[in-house]
Amino acid sequence: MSEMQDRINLLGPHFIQAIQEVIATMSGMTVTEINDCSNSGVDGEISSAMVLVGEKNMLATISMPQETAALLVSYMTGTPIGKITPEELYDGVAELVNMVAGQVKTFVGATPYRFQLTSPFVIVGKSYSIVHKNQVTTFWKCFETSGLKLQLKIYFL
Amino acid sequence: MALQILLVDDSPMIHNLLRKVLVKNGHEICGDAKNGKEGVEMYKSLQPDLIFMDISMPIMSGLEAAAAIKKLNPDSKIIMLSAMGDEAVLTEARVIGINLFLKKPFDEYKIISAISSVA
Repeated sequence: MSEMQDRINLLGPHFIQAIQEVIATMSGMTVTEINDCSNSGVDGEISSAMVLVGEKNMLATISMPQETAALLVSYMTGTPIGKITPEELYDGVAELVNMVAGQVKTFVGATPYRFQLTSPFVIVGKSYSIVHKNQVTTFWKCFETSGLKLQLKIYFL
Repeated sequence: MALQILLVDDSPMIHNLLRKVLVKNGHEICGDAKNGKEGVEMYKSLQPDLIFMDISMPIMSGLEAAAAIKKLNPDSKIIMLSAMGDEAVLTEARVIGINLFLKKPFDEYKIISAISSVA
């Protein structure tokens, strides 16, 4: 098995566990993994991203439609969906990837896969894609909560 | 006992979440600061019973702000918030005299337990 596959096998489940735990703790919502990502119905209207700097660098992104982001932020803060400002929405999604990456950092702290984190940033827009060169390996998982979708994508740079 | 609490975090979401939980449990938010520098200034004028302080913030970090506040009043009560549980950061927080380190994510139970253990 390749070193990259070992890395994915170790980190992938940690990311899945982290996204489920962070959302459950912060919002009380249950997040279920969807097996078929290709038909997940996810539209990347909001992506939060963070660079994980280690022996091998990674870009972690969590993308979702605006509707999913609004529901998550509403559950986390108690603010009604209609009263959430764009700033609060984008900040909430940025905090989400920050906490997920922080959880994974804790999980892998004692392994050779440990990393440092940059500040999170958010990409907002309609119909955008995050495109990478062919040789970049990705780990891609999709999730559903309350009938709404979100996706996690890790780019091994 | 109701406490006067100062929130220092650059995330509006964390402010809203903490406000919701703290007010629900009978505490009062006496100030909202968006960075460490604002937090130190607000501490001087408000003299809160307790401070919730993030670590990574623009202008002045939470560790720098906490050190400045502890210098002003070594008995000040500070709960540090962070998504990252770096051992180096924890060590620095202990040296500064941070009363408690609360790792994100957190729920209502963890927040209220943290207050009980330092107040």
